[in-house]
Amino acid sequence: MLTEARLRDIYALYKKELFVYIYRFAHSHESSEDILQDCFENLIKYSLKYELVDVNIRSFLYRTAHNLVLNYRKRDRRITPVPLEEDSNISAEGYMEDALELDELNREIYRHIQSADEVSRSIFIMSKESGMSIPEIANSLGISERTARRKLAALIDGLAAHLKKKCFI
Amino acid sequence: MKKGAHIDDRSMRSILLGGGIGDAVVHHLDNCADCRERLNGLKKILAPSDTETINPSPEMERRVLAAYWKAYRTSARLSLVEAIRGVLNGLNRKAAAGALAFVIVAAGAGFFVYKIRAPRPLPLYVYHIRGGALVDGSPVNYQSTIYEGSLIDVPRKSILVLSYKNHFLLKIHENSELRLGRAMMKHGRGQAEFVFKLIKGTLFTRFNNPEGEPEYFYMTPNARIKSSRTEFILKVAGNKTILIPRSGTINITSLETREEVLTLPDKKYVITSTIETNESGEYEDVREQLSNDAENPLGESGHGEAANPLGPIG
Repeated sequence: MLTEARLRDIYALYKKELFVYIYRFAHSHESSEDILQDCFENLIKYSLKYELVDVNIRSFLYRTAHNLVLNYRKRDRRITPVPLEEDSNISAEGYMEDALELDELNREIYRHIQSADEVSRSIFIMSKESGMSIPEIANSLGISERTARRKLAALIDGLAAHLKKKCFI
Repeated sequence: MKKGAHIDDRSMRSILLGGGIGDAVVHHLDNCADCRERLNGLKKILAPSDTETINPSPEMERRVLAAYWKAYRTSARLSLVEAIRGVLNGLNRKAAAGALAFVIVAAGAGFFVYKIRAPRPLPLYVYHIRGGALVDGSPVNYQSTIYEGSLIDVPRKSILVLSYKNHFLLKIHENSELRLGRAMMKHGRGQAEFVFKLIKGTLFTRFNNPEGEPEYFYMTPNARIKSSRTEFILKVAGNKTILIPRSGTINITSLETREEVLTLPDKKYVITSTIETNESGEYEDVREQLSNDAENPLGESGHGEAANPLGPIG
């Protein structure tokens, strides 16, 4: 089983990126925290039965988060996707022009990808926010690298066309 | 690439997703501002957004650790059930007599494992609470059971005071985390030996131990402290342990150097990798807290204050 010290280390290492990933789907701070807790509970329970030596913990956590987020969204269909500006408390005051522009761009990106399928969205967020490579993403989601690359490419194509039309790029 | 042609969308995507690119493409990018601009536009799509304000709350770590300890205790109990079930499943008629004996032995062994692995409730009770202290992630109340291995978390603007019989008082200040280590209890003679691991924060303790009774142990990230008939305040801040005794003798051992010191009352001891007596004006707030706690451990002012079960030592 995991030791407490190791669990603390793992939590400190992955809490931020995992939370951002979950939050981009759940759009609710409270729900995101519940899902984050469930991710680590799953890891703890897994470690009770199996050694973690050969397990890629990051992939395990992302795969768990992905599944939990899907369940959460199925359970609560009344969730309306919230545009970035409503769940961000970034103040425009004092921002350089470039940063504001980037902020607008990201709002538009997340608005657009709401229409994508869950897996494509997962792949995109993992790549964009967590900096994960295609092999890491594929491992986390239990899909082939080819599928991960194909889905990400298709999403980027769609996004590029959309953003070009809106004169963002 | 043909002369005059630009990089197609597929190649652009490949560059973006970390695919290998040929020298011709590199050369073209160096010389074509349009293609560079297109590529930079695509890079913005995958650049991380500003997530500075997207963070889990500080309580999340406590929740995760509480889940850890809950799973640990459940696992210890299930081990016994599965041990017996496994034995019973393997029985047949011919082996019935021998298997029965085995079950008895296995059950006894399983019970022994359960007894040594499952956390025991400790004879500590909640004497006073203010604010929202947690034990293993659950809110503390006057009926809370404190287990061996329990993690006590006292957040801001809270206080928790634990007691054991008439011997012992432990006040855990706000912004503190304390884990109860393994305790030895010698039943019949009513003796108890506790190990308290102060992870961070401040505690005040008053221990009025009759002669011949066991000592109590306190652990911090860099010190082991043994005390019997004493009263002191202990604080962990970053990589420092600060201890100020009010009375009695305390044995401090540095975990790093194994240096040992027997304390004198009213001196400030600062343990990092070594144990030093601090004569400066630093940590006077800790000394002041010790005086306040010694006079009034419950920290309440005004009416309705509970009686202090232990008078000052000496």
